[in-house]
Amino acid sequence: MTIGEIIQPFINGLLIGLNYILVALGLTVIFSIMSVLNFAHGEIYMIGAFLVYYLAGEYHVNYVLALLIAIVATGILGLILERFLFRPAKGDILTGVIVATGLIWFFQTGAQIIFGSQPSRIYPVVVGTWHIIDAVIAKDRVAAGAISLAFLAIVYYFIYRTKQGKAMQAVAQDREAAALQGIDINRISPLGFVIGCALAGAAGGIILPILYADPYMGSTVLSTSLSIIILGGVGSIPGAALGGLILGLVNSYGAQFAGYISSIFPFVIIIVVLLFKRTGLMGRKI
Amino acid sequence: MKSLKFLLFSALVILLFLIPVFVDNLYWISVFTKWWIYILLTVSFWLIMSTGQVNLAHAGFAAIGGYISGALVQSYGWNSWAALPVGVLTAGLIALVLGYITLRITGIYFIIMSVALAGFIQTIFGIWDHPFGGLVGLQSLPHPDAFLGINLSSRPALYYLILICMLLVVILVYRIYYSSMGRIFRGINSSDRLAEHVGIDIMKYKVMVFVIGCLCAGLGGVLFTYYTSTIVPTSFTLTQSTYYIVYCAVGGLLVFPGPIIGTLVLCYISELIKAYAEYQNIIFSVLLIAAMLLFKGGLYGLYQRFINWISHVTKRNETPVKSI
Amino acid sequence: MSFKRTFLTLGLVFIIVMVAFAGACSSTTTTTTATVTKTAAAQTTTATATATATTTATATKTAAAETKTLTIAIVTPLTNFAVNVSMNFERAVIMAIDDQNAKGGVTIGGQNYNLAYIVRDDKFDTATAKSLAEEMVFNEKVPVIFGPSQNEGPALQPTTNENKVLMFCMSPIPEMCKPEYPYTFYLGGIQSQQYATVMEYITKFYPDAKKVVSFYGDLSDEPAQSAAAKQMCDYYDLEWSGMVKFPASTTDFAPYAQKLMAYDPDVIDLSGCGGALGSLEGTMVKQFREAGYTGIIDMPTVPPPGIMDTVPAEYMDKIVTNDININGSIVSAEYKSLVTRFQTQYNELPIDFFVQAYNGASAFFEFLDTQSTMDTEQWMQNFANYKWTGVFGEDAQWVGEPIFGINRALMTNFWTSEWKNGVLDTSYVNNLPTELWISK
Repeated sequence: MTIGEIIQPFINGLLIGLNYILVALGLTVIFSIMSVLNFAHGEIYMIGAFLVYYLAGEYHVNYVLALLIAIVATGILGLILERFLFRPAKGDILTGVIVATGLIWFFQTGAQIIFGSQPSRIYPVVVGTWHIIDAVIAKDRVAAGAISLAFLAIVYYFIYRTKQGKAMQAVAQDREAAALQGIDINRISPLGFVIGCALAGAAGGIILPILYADPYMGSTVLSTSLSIIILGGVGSIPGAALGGLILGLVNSYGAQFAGYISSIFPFVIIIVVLLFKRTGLMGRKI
Repeated sequence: MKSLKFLLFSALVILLFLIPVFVDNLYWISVFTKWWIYILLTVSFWLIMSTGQVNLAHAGFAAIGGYISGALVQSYGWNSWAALPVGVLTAGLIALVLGYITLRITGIYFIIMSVALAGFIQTIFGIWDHPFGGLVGLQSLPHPDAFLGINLSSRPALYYLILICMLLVVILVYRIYYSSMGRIFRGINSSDRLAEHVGIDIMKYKVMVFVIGCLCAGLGGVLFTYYTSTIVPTSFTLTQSTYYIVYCAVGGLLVFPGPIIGTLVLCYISELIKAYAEYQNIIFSVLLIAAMLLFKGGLYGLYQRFINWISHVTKRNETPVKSI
Repeated sequence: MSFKRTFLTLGLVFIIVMVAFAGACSSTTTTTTATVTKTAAAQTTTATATATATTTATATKTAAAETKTLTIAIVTPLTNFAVNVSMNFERAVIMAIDDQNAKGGVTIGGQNYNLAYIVRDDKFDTATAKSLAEEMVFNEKVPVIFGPSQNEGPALQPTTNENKVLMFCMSPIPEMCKPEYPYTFYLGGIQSQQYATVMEYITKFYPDAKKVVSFYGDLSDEPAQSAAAKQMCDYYDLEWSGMVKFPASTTDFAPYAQKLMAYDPDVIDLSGCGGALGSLEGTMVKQFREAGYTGIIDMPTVPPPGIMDTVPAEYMDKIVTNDININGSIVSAEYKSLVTRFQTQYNELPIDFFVQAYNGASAFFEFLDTQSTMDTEQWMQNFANYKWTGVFGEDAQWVGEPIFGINRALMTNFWTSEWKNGVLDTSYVNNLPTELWISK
């Protein structure tokens, strides 16, 4: 086993893990603020990827511009979803699950009809590789990792350093106490949803040049995100970050050493964590 | 009036039994057979849901039943009437073990766990070539063997077999739902804190209902293999389980006729628009969201409101009761 | 429940059932109307394009009685990742039907028939497929069904086989082609042929390449792909290291690149990753090259058109494939004209499978024209012995010896291409070991 065989999957795993963190973060933000698990989160990711594909692939819009447009569009979509679909659900778990199922079907079938069932690719934005010792790292993965990191930094700054962000933390910790403090829940909930969906859309758009966009990509992403937030602890942002990196490494090394069976690991993680330590690695008490 | 309900039910049952006599189109007999399987699966799913646990791995238990019975018949030459109970009981046994471990987790965490379980079961069945056929699955499964001398290889015969199984499950679910324990659950629904206050019996009852529901799912899986003669890892995925939820939601989540009505209506719509099958799920999703957010209570709720409205309207000549 | 309530409920149920019944009845008739409109529209479009397609003069068949309609069913997964192959198959059959109709339809036993078709999506799902089989066989009474894939195809077989309906599948697996299913045919190259074409090319142009590792998804034809890869590697004296599988839900192939490169292969064989897995081949090639793999990659089954354009040209080198550049020196005029017709009609390029499928489907309709009865059992037996000239310039024949149980598959010759520095070079006619498949 050469150094390259160990380093290469490690670096790739971390880079892809950054992308996972973006999606999982979106999911956990929505959950901690609205107490609703948006099962359609994977579909928002898919919409982000397809929007960038549509703009950059079909109309040859500049990739970065397309990405920004996709983020804004998914953010607005989040606003609409929160106001008309999830707010009337009033935090009831079952209603939330059912509404999300409806959304999944709606978006998946819509994408299928508009874009066809098979994966769509665009020409990569950055071409080439770097060599580190005897490991080969693709430049576009590093670029994607860097962009993901930039977005994570922005979100971190927003949540921990701004007034609105702190208000969001307050709502996540204790909804009633936050209301008593004068925080307007009806402003914070949509904000959480917008951020959550924008993160998912960004992740989809970022990963597009590396992989592809297809109508069914949402379900795998959802399983991975669920695995991450359970592992890291639902509602915990550092947990999502840690979980994302771990899942990235698990998928990277897992496929290499266990091959086809590795697709089962995210499910096993969920089952094991929920049975033994429900709060996950860094979660709060439920 | 109880006897009226019973009369209505019997009349319906007789009607269902008479369908193959009056309808000689084999295609439609087969379609109805498929509907009965779906009703069986949806109703058993709904039973588990009525105790507050949304079991998205329900289709996975159907897969267990189907795969075990199919493998026994095909790879080991068992008689299908010996393989059926083994398949069903395996599903039940696994449900028992899993139930004790996992049912103490509730709410959204149980749902996530069941999602993971569904994915796990689906992948597991694709791994071994023998006896589960790996990714190819089990093909050309035979018709069920003759039962007490009755040949079961024709479509009408299969129709009756599956109809009987479906009716038995429906009656079973009805009895459990309206039992004394069922009454408690109807009251507290998905509020588990309240459940904690009522007592630890809840856990035993939850496990029992879970096992019964999964036994029925296993039966549904076996019947499915009789119907399609094949079973592949992608026959019973998470998406299948979401169909059960959708049928329940459209029909009416909290009432007994709900899942049945929802299944029949949506399956029927699916038949109507089969030339435009790609749009089916979009239509269903719109119906679903409408059912959850607009006309709460699903189709059965609509029906109840309609009846109430008619009753109200035709009571004009009576002394109006002062509203409290 | 009060009397009034019961009465109202019964009345409501009665109305609903009546409406449902009416709805169900009318939906069956709309199907046939749609079919008729389809053939009419198709005929007007082909009227202009037929000139190049038909080699013989269009014979107007004056039938003794009026022309009847013969309906063919196309049941195929149109809303699933397999759509790449199924869409090309569907269009091939439709084009073959239109061409046959332009020649005056088919005359069976003195009665002239105009060919019509019904298209249904089986969603890659067994329960849907079974229902569609029953609808087509019992309601629409079709004698032939085209289109199922290896995943849901077996669900149609009991119905079609019992009722002597011929079934032409899109992708074969041994379980579907057993001797118990004589009515099931397959119209394309079998797996071992596809491997033979690329491996023969590799041994000729890259004689130092020895070690081959195969890569495919967890689809139900994986065992057939593995068996074919092994057989062909043994035949051409290459060392087969095995099949690495990936879950069909995989989105990232970089980890698998690591795994494959650990075998230190000279050739990474992408097996059936074209076809149903479609665009993934572009992603795979790019990611394997980015992971540092510089050896040969072979793609026996091809990706959708345009996908390889999204891979940077510097990675598109040393890639051996059955993808065909229609401007290649060895491409026949007939092949070219078919591809051009497809492009004109649908505004995109077809995949190679389209030509094979058209080849077989049009041969079948020509064959029907020679039949004297409507007895499908006769059709099945006679077609199994039928021979015709394919678009690759060679005689098309049926596989005689069962290959892994597949004994109703069509054997045709392929051309082999290679991507060299971003350019697809189609200039090699391969020499297939036909003795492996055709019995004397």
